[in-house]
This record gives sequence, structure tokens and C-alpha cells, in this order.
Amino acid sequence: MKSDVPRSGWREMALWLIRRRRLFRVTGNSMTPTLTAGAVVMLDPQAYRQQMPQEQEIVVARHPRQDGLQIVKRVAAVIEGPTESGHPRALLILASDNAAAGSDSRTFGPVELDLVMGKVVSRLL
Amino acid sequence: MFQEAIAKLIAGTAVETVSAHCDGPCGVYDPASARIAAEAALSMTQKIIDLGPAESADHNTYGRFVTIKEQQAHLAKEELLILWTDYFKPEHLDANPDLHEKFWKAAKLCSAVKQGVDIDAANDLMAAIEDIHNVYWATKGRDVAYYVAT
Repeated sequence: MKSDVPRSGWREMALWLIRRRRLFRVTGNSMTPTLTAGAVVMLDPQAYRQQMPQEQEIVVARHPRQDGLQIVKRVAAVIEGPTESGHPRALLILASDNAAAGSDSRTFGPVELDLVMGKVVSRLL
Repeated sequence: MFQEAIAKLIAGTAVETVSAHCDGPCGVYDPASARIAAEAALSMTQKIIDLGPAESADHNTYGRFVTIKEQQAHLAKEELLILWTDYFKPEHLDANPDLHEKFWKAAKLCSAVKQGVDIDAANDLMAAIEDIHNVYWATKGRDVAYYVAT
């Protein structure tokens, strides 16, 4: 079941004022119907400092192969990788909501946790 | 509504964009494409071994074999990742709880085949792809026999 992104309330706006939220404008339609092109979302950059992303959450990540491109996708799966030199690794499978649109992991495969910039917590528009 | 107006004002300040770009939705998937690439990488691995020590082999031939092996191993990995991330959906995990593990291992084997001259890894990769072949066609409810070209 794909969860919707709640509208930003006063609390979210206040958090934005004190720079605890970042704003992003969505381009493209791969997250339709959850987020259509032109939607403006609020990102919590600190959401994953203490905990791992969970399946079904929507995240903003840096594209692994295209510098400067930021993408918004839904977490389809979190894979706890085998530890390398003692550091647990996690990879995220990111997917588009727009099922008819094939997807995106076609170009980038699983995504390292380091590339995730935060969690989409609400939308203004 | 007042809150809506404020939301629009704030939204107007959003300058950063995030892409929700779509790729072509052809919907055509077949583990065979990964198998062909992996089989080519296996074949090149064997040919490199047959050439003998790098010092005595013809440099051009040796270099060409290594290049093809690496290209095909890389291609096999890309094909597997496409299948993994684009075709398989969460509901497939119910019947195949170790799906991620299978793909993870197969992708790692592609890297091993690419990086070294490792006939065991190349054979293990073929076995991993056969396994994925069986899982894939089972999700489609079709009985498709696995085969290799050589």
C-alpha cells in the first residue's frame, strides 16, 4: 500500500523557518499520483541520523551516476549488506510510484545510504 | 484558507528541484540477457587461462580478451540490476524471501568475474543466474527451460 504524503501544517512550516526542513520542487511524473510535477515537498535532512530508512518511505537522494541530479523516490527495499571491514552497509532499492513508467533503478541500481539526503515528510503544494 | 496561502508563499521560495524522471516502460524482461553476458565472460575467462602466462601471451590478444571479459561481466551486472530493481516487486518476496540475497550474491559475482581471472566465480555466476531464471519464470507462472549457448 503506497502511503500518501501529508500536507504541511503549521508545525512543518515552523520547522522550515528554523531550518529543520528543506524545500524541493518535484519535476517529472514518475512519482505520480503521490507527487505530481510541480509539487513542493518538505525534506527532513536529519530523519536518518538515528534510524534506517524504512520501506515505503519517500526519500530524496543524490543520483549515483549523475553529479548534481537529485531524485525523489520511494524506498522499495532496504538490504542490509554483508559487513565490509566491520562497517555494516545498507543499500536501498528506490522505485517510482508510477507503475506504468517502468522505473529508474534501470540506470542506477541499488543506492548507498550515503547518497540519501533525507526523508520527504510533507508537501506544501 | 490562510494556511494554504502561507503554504503557497513558502513553496514559492523552493528553488531546488528533485527529479522524478521516468524511463521507457517497455516491460520486457528476461534473465537470458544476463545469462548471455555471463556466459561470454565465462568463455573469455577460460580463453585467458588457456593463453597461459600474460608475459608470454600475445599482448594484443591478451588485452582484447581481458577487455571483452570485463565488458561482458559489467553488462551481466547491469542486466541483473535492471531485473532486480525494475521487474521484481515486494509481493514477489513472499514466495522468494531470499530474493535480495540471490541478486546481491549474483551482482557480487559479476564484480569478481570482472576484476579477476576467476573461473570458479564465473561458474558460480552462471549457477546464480540459472537460479534467478527459475525464480523469474515461476513468478510468471511459466515453465521455461534453462539453457546455455555453448
